[in-house]
Amino acid sequence: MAAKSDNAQENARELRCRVLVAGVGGGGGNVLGHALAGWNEPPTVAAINTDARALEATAIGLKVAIGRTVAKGMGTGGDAELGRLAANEDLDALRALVSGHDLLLLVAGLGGGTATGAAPVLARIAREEGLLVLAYVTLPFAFEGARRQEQAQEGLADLKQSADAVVCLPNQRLHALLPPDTSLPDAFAFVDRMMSAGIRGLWTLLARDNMLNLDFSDLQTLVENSGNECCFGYGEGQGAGKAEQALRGLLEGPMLEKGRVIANSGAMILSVAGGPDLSLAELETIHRRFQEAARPGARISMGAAVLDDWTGRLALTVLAAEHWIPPTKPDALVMEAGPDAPADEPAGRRRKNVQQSELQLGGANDRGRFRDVAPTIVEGADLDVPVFIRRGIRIPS
Amino acid sequence: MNIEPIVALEIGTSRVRVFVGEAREDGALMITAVGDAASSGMRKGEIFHFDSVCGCVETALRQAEEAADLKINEVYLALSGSQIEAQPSRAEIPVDGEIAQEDADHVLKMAKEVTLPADREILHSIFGQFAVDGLPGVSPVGLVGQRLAAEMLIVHGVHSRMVNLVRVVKALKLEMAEPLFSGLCSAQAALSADQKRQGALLIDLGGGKTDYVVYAQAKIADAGVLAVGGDHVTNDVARAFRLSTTEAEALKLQHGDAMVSAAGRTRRLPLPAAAGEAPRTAKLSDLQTIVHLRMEETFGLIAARLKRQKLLSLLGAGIVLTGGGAHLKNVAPLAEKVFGLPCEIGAPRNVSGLAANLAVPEYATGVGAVLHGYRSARAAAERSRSAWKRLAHWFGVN
Repeated sequence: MAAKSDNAQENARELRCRVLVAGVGGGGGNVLGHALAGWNEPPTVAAINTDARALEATAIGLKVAIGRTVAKGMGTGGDAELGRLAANEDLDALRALVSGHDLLLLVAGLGGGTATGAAPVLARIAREEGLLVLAYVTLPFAFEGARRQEQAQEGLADLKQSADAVVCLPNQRLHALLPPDTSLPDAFAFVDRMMSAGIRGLWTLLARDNMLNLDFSDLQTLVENSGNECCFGYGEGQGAGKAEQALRGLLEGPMLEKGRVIANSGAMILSVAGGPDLSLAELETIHRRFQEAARPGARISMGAAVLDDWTGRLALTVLAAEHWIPPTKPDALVMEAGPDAPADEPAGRRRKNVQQSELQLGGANDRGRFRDVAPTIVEGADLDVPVFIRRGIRIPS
Repeated sequence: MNIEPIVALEIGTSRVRVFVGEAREDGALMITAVGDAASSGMRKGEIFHFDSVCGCVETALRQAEEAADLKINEVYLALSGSQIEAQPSRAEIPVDGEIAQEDADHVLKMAKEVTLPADREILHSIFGQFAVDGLPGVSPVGLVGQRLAAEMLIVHGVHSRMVNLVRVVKALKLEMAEPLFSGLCSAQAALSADQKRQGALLIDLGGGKTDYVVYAQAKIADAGVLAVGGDHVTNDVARAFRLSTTEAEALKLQHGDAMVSAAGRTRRLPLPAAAGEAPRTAKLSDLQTIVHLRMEETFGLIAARLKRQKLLSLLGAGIVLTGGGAHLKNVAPLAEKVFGLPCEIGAPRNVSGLAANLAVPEYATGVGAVLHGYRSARAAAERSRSAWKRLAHWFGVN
């Protein structure tokens, strides 16, 4: 362990969150195509599809065709079973894709065959490879038919099992945000825009150096204790009252059920994106308003990014865990909402501490890929723990 | 004699394999098709995620069906993990004068009846030998004596875990011919009759587990599984060099070595680094040390168990290694060092006309399961054989 702290500086750089964003099926690809447009320094983005033509058409650089035998380069015709078989056919390719990353943001439009069938397989493979897996999914509109709805629900249940957490955007709920005469393509485009905003918000905070950084460990804690389900909300504001406007949209709008979701959540992550004019007062207001709206003792983590061309603009993304199960490990360094938590605490510095303690803990889970199965204890030794660690042999030597 | 194609299914932690065997006109068994798919949802030889295992098995089945041009309905399932272990069992009855077939059947039945903890179930009852008035190794029917004894080896595992593997077969709407301990299957395929007679230890180095089977004094003397496999080596490597599982696996496959070499101390290996990071390297000897320690411990645990049972000195033919782990560089020399016995890398051998690409250590389990299936199908066809002779045939010496 001593060797680790010597290298803490080096580790900090190496362990910065490596994010993979992957769209599964046609819907997932569309969202990411949308998200990529106007993204200055995009993360690794991959499109996974059974439909070779859709893959060709996408602007996404990294394309993974799956199920060339079972789907023959065509789509799945809405058959989730075929989507699952297609993913199983190319497990090695999926494994290679996710390998070397820390976080998978999986994007899928549930209901479709490829997305519904293949997304849970990808999520599972990624978790097997040690990634934290957060799946952003949409559910079909009611008019898309009962069969698609049913298939989407089955896919959702599957995905909750295989991903660390699922962020679900029911299209129906989003519908309430739109004027009644919105055309169908506009409605779909709106959903894509919401979703891509959410993903961008999170990625921006994790992967670059920001005004107020969000730690991977914060996200990890939220996601791993979320009861496999997170809620997502997005609000935007412009001009003088931009923070207020974004807050109002979020806390009073339908996405978070007029603030009910926030009131129920045990933990949440707020990400703020703004221009160079983003002020500390605005951040304080946002933090305070969420503190007031949340239940006492809720964990609120916040990050903020300044984007050069965003002057006069502010976007607020919330990821909230309604089914929060507090972790057993005490973590005194996380900000708690409540009358005692001063909003003007230099949060950035505190988070630095969290990050460093987390770095050292990063390797403490010596069971690695065996962490979630029963240990093999022989003669008092846990054989899943590397032998060199049990024998106290320093590697690298 | 008309024997239907025999299909064996091996659900491993790193691969799922299906083998199809068909009888040639001359009665010899041929492997006619193999399905071999990546496995997922397995840890340490056991099911971790049911649906993904089903998906992988389906993929392998389809491959085999296509290659064999056959619809697979029934499989022999080679299974492991499940804390499988063996215990000897002995029963003795008084007899009066000439020993009849009924006496032999009766004492065998008694020897099979062992009391196990509630969560355990018998997987195999392997016939060992009969003894008449203390004289072992005899064929008792027709002999005269006072006491008839039967010795068996009872192989058992944790019921719920074995059932989960069987449930995969059911979920795929397949009939189950017979569940088989994968270690016994590997021994069937990789040990020669001579090796079994002289005494041998077979170790199958799998991805998630290590099986072992001991033949001593011309019978199976011990068998079991250690829930440690190639994945542990990979995990150790990943942990030591902070690599992803895939990166660690690639490093292990390319440079892994069970022995530490002098040259390894000066040679450095490039490690994968993310874009924008400074390149990293590792000392080859560090990698060798990690692999060596893990393999040495695994062999050492088996050696300690055999030593306690006084079986080590009975292994005249030494050690045979099978499973994917047998490809690890210097694994045989390490085994020789730990056990103090000669060691060779095994491969399926007891099948005629086996194509060279099938004669690899990792196919021993699957081919062995087919071989077993074929032998029991043939035995069933020859109804004239007595019950205990059939038993002797299954996993027996002959």
